[in-house]
Amino acid sequence: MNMDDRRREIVERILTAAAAEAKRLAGEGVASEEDVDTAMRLGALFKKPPFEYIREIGGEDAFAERLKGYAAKYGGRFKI
Amino acid sequence: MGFEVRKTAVVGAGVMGGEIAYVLSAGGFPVMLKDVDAARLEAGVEKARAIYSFRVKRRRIAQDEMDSRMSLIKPRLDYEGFESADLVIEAVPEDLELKKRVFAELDGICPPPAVLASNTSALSITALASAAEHRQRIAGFHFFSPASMMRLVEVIGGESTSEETVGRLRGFAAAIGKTPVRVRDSAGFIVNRLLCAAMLEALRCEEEGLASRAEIDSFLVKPDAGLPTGLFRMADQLGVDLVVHVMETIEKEHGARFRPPEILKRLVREGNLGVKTGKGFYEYGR
Repeated sequence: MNMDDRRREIVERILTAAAAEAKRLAGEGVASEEDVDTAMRLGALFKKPPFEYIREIGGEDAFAERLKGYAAKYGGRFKI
Repeated sequence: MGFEVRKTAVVGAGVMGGEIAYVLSAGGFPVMLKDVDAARLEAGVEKARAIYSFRVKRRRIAQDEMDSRMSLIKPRLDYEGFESADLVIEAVPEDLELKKRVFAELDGICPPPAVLASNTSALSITALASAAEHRQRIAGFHFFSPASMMRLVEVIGGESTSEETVGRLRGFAAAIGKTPVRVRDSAGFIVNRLLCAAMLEALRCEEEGLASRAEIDSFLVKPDAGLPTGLFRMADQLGVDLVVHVMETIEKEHGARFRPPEILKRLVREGNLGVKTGKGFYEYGR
């Protein structure tokens, strides 16, 4: 794997892990999706907060598809 | 209901208490800053003064404005005057029994409708309010470090917290120039829970040998990832011991995916806690 592919894979895994947790958190009713993004933007200085990231990669369906692949490849933590 | 914040207080000085005292006084609010330890109290006042001094030096504010804002900060070694506070923010060390005691004390000293808030980053609001009688006016009000710079405040309602209390804290956050988000009492709230999830995935990437920690960090700060700093470096800045403590707290509620891996525990055992000890994931010149 070349450097760029490796970089993309690692960044994707880490942002997807945060986004999966954000999805869970909002699903539990801990906070709204909008507040989650505000919090990550202003409290952690993420330029791409989780729900914005999910939209960027193609929205809910694309994200669900990715999680399915990730859960099979990396483990149950990517299952929601 | 005629509730208006005029006087504020902070319990627990040190760096965080000093940062919060700065934020409140800069918003124009008188603030009693209390600590049982004279050295920590002094450190808190000096922290606020240092932030103002820096702003004077950068010509953001005038010297006389700094003087008038600093005069709003009243250092205290006891609860003198707390009975007239409309809002108290607790910022003592992250120890549940200690915080429970502080809230029980404050509950007796500050009559309702004064709002009592905790700056805890991980503990349950419901649990730390459990020794107090008037629990409806107790909530979380979580700043981010450094509080003087970071615009976010997580406003957390526990099981007994009234909507009125949450509303008052949201209003107060706006009055001191912060942006509030509403969070239910759940381990890690929003930011720490998601940061831990990201950090744990970064640790797994390193453990699997995909890349070194320095490489992973360098990937994360590139525009397509958009983080302000790499996650290993962030752990060093927060303190590896704190990161482990937060992960363990979150693990108890949300499960094994948050279990801190061996490498984190090893760093803590070795006393390599990050920037504050000169070494963590990275080494820092002293």
